[in-house]
Amino acid sequence: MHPSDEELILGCRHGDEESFDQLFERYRSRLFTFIRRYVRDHQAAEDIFQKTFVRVFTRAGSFRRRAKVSTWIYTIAANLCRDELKRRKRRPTVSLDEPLPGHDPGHAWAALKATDDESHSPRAAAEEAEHRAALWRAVDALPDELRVTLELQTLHGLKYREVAEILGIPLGTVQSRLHNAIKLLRAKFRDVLEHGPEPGRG
Amino acid sequence: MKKKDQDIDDVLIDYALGQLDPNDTARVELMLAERPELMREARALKRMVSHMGVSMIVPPPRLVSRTRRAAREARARRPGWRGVLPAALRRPLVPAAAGVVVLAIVALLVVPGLLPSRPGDVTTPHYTTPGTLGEELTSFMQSSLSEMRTLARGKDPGVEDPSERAAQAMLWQKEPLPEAQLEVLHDIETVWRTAYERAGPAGILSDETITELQDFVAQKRLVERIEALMFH
Repeated sequence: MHPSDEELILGCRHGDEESFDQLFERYRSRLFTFIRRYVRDHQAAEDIFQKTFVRVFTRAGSFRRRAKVSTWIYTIAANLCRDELKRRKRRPTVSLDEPLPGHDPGHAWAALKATDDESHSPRAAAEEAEHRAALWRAVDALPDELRVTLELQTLHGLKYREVAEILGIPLGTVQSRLHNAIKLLRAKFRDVLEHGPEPGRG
Repeated sequence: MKKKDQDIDDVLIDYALGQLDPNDTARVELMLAERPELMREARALKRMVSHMGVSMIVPPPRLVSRTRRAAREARARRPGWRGVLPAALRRPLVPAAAGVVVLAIVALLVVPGLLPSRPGDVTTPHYTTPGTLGEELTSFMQSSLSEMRTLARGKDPGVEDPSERAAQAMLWQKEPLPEAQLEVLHDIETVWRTAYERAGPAGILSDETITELQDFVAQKRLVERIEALMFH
């Protein structure tokens, strides 16, 4: 039987390396993904990843049972990411009004609205991959605060409350950021859709 | 967009993001079954959200081994609470770190039910020994202010967790201390010094000492006074 996260943290609290290893295995990819996409810099992501797990092991005693272990770990990482972003100059974000290179969002949204899963052909699979890439470029173009909130929720399947706790913002702010992000993405796609796909597409 | 349409749209987004509880989800699905145009919209939103679920980025092997090693080394280097407390003790009481440790130790000692009858039981509070208590304090002292804010922020007004109280005390102590609060701190210091001086080689306090400290705290109504200062 696999130990729960709480049991592993209890082990970490007492310096048990086996517990730490298990927790590390459980979270390493998820956390690296979160950090890497949060700070958008590989070197910084590696440093934060390491710092996060060092803190998990050395500060397991500060874990509060009221929170979930995952929330606690993500909170540590999010705090470090925020510190990193404060340290370096904020990167300019790409405006959603600018055309996104290499994809056709109108085509992507049309495909999303079409009857889904109607085909598993190689062509359909290729289109699916293209839509996915188009969507991610659009996500990348979102303002940082919307993007990070959206990714945290969608990549990790968290509830609004957990996202709020991790990012240290009110629950209502999480909800409005996510709604805004979704509406911005949809508006971008829909706008192109209503004016018709580009020539030669769709 | 009309208000009602906006509300429906917001619900659809919550639905697509998987944020509705089962009852609300069922209600929305009933509505969608009767409204094909909304059904298409909801499906598109769900697909869009599902498309965002990219595959995980795997950390490189060298980072994995480096992180494991760093965590172990940091854990091994970490000072025990006996290494931390004396340094803090030498400082005047006003610095926040000293104050917060004192508050934490008092809170841990006096809050009923913190010493469980079944040590190691994961379902009970973990403050089984003053040694563990020391771990807690050490962690706390090593926390950055932002982490303490995380602990203190957004909690219920009636926080039960002593470390959260201590975190709030830390924030509170960022302000200059009024004269009246120094009296409370003096009593806290008495508890702390006694605890430290009587701790055994492994940092263990005897039951008699704990009882004596609890009596002192009760007699001085210290917890009530601390709470009055912290929360009013």
